[in-house]
Amino acid sequence: MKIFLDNCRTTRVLPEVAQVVLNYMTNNFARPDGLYESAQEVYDDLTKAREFFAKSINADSGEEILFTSGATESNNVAIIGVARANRNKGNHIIISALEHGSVMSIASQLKNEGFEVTVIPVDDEGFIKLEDLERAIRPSTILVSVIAVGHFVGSIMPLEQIGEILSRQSHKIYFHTDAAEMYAKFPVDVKKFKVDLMSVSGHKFHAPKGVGFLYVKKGTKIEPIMYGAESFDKRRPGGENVPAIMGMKRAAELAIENIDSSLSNLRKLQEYFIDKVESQIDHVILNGPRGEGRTPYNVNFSFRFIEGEAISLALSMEGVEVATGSACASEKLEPNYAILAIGGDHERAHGSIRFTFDRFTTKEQIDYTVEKLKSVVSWLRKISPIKAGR
Amino acid sequence: MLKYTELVMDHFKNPRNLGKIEDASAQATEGSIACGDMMTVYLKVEDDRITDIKFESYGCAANISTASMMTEVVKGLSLEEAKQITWKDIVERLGGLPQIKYHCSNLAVDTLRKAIKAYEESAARSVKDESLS
Repeated sequence: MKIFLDNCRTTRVLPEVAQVVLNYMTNNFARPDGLYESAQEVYDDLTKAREFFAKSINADSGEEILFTSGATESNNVAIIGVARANRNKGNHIIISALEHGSVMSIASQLKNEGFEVTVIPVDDEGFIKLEDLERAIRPSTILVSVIAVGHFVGSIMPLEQIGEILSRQSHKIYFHTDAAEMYAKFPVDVKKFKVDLMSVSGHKFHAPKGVGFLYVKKGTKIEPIMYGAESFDKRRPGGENVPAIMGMKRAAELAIENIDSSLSNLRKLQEYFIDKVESQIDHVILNGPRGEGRTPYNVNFSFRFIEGEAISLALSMEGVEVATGSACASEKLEPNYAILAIGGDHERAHGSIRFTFDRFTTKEQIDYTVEKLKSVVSWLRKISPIKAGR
Repeated sequence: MLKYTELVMDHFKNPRNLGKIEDASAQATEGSIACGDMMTVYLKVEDDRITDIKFESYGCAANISTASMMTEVVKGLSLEEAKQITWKDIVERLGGLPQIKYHCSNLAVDTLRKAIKAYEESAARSVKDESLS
């Protein structure tokens, strides 16, 4: 038995989606910029796909959708593009402490270019405090970037209230959100959130890897970060990954069709999982919020007195695949920043395990996971020199 | 996920000499929870020879497997021979470790050396005590 519970890292491509991808690889393989019928067909399909994605987030027009290679590229284009294009207005950028690693890296690059970056903290559940945001805003602030759903601890950020605060300011502050963990899982409305830019990644909702999009509200002052020959969309040079884009469209259609039932099923499953672990395993800490403020796709526990790399490796030997926030499993040997950001210490980060679901996760899989988790945790605690009460 | 050799995985799954020695001649703990690696080594020493060794580990698979291999290597060695064992010997016996995991492999040997030192210090003290009495 293999149970994949690392769906926040990536998801499997659904067969229906793979069929579409295959078709655009082998049959409708033309590029959209040729002057012949098969190219025209692809051009029309891409145009319809853009319109579909625009509609799916309540944007005004397909032209506000820019296809990219995924959320990392979308984040780069959005943040660097807006920062550089608006440098004459100011050099201050605000991000949250729970941003994806790509946003953190982009912010550090912009610092090298002379921008100032404020990282607003999160509370012990992983929410930013709106008063901290208001305090951080300066006359020189040009952009705020806040992740829609924390990918480690699952907190759903108050995008609507952030958008409201930013729209009240006397000068324009662009609002970007990395919605990789929100799009196709929750209803998304760019008008309600008052966002100017939004990053989306296909492989988080059963599309192939290497495709995503960026919503760029009409009128946004943004510079390209790549240069080349114009293709379908002059804002991003190079040939579009047509098969992946069309696959992402099919994946989004299927996810959005099932969005409400997936949310309610997973909410029950998440509560069941949390209850079961908390009642059957001692010395566990739930990282992140409980209830409505947390995405039902995520559960993150720290198991005290033991280390996460060993837990995840032992679980993997039992067929359960999960992620850990332990320093030992990171390339930089640093404990997970999200656990530290919500006030956890190093031990809590090292012992943290993230379980992330997709809409196909079942109760049977959860039961199996908890059984294996119990034996792995009890074995590792038995061999650990650190014991409860010491 | 980092790639481990089959032997590393075998020592992780079935660690040798795991646990405590209740009447240990010496024991030592190295590392810290904050660093994510911690280990206790228990020694049974007779006639300057390690007749038994056991360990407990809080740490990753590299930590557990290097500790396990270290105990296999030093069991039966004289203290002087055991002191010569290096982290490199252990890693080689395991068929290698990802480079980023080298620091974890140090802990097994560091803890062993600390335990030997603790034994030697207590042995020196008891010799001194005997000469005083």
